[in-house]
Amino acid sequence: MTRKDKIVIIALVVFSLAGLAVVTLPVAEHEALHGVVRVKGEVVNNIDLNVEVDSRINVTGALGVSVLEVKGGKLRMLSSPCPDKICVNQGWVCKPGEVIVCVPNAVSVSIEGDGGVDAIIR
Amino acid sequence: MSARARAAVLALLSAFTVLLMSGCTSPKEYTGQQFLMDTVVEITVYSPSEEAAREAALAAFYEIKRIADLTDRFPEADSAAYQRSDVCQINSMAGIRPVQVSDDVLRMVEMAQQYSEITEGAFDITVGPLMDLWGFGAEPTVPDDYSIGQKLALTGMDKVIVDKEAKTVFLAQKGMALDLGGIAKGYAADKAVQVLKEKGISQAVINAGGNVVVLGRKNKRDLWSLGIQDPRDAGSLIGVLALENQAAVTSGDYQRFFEKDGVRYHHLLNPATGKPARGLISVTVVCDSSTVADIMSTALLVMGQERGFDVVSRLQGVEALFVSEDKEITATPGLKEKITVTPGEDYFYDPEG
Repeated sequence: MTRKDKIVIIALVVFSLAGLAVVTLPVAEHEALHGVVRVKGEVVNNIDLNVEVDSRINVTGALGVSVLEVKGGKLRMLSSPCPDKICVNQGWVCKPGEVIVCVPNAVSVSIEGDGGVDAIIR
Repeated sequence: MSARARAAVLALLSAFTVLLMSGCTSPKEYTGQQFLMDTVVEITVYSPSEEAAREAALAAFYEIKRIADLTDRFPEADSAAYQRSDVCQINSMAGIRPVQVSDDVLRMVEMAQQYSEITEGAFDITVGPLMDLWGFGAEPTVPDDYSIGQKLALTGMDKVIVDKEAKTVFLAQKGMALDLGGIAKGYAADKAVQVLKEKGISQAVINAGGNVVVLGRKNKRDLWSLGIQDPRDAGSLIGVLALENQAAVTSGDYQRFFEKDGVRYHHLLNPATGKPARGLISVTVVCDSSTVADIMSTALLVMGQERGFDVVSRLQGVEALFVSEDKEITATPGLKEKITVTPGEDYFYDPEG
C-alpha cells in the first residue's frame, strides 16, 4: 500500500464518519422543545422552551390579548379574552404534540420537538 | 496492496459515502393551521418539494372550508353564509318543502340514516332542537323535563325524507333541525385526504380538532403515533395508537360541557332521553373512514359499554377503545395490535380482557 493509498482511504473514512455525524447528530440533539404560537393559523412566535427564561408573552388574537406564561420549560395560557376559558383551564403543557387552543381568540400554541407523538386525538 | 484490492476498497468506501448522503434527502414538510368548524384544523404534508406540500395543504383546507360552509348551522339569517349552508336551507324549510342540496350533504344525510339503523337510533342528526334547548353553542342551561319532552317530539330519523334522484332533503315537521356536528368534521377530513391524494401526496397528517386521519406511514420503519388524551387530564395520554392510512376519532364528555350543582352536562345527547349520555366518558374509534369513525365514536358513547361493544364487534374493520365512568379501559380485539394502553394509576386496563 502506498502512502497515497493510505491518505485516500483515511480521507474517505473521515469523510464517511463526518457524513454519519451530520446525519445522526442533529437527531440526538433535537431534544430541543419549541412552543410555536399561531394567530389565525399564522406563526407569530417560536418560543425555545430550553433557553427561554421565565416570562409572560402577550399574543394579540381576534378578540384581544391572550397571555402565555413560560416557566421551567413549560407553557400555559395565563389569561385569554374568551368566554369559555377552556384554554386557561387546560393548564401546563410541555410534551411534543400537546396543543393549547383558544378558538374564540384564534390563538394556538403547539409544542414541537422530537420524541413525542405525531398528533393527539382530543 | 494490489491494484485490484485497492480499487475494491475505494469502491466500497465510495458506496458507503453515497449511501450516507442519500439519507439526507428526506421529504420536505409543510404544516398549516386554520380555524374552521369551531375548532383548529392542522394539516401536515410531506412532499419532495415544499411548494408542492404547501399547495396541496392549502387545497385540502379549501375543501374543509367548503364542507364547513355547507354544514354551518349558525350563520346570521339572510347572510351570504346562510344562503351557502345547505343545513340552514333544510332547517328553514322544515315542514314546508324539500330542499335541493349538494352531493356532499346528501351523502352525509344518507350515511347518517344508514348508521342510525346500525346503532339502533343512537346516532341521530335530528337532535338540533335539543342541542339548542341545552344551549350548546351559546349559553348552556339545564332544561326541565317538560321542555325536553317537547323537543324530543321534534326529533327522529324517520322524519328525514331523502329523495336520491331529485337530490333533496325534507324534514317532515315544522320546528325540526338537522345538526351535522357528529359527522361533518369526519367527512371533511376524508374529503381533504382525497384532495391530497389527487395532488399526488402520499404522506400527511390531518388533525381536525382531534379528528385525525393519517395518509401513508411516518417512514419506512415507523407508523404514525397518535396519542389519545386522558379524558380527565389534558396533559396525559391513556394510550398511543400506531397507524397507517387510517382515521381515529374520539368523542368524550370533556370536550364541550358545563357544570351545574356539581353535575357535569356534556354535549353528546342521548336521542332517546334528550339528556347527556351517561356511563362512558370517552370512546375512540379507529377505521379506514374518518366519517365512520366520527359517527361511531358519537354513537358508541351514547350506547354505552355493553351495547356499544356488541354493535362495534359486528362491524368489519371498525375498532374501538372505551373509557367508562368508573375508569375502566376496554379495547376491541382488533385494536389491541395497534395500541399501547398506558392506564397509569387512575385507570384500570386488562390487556387479556
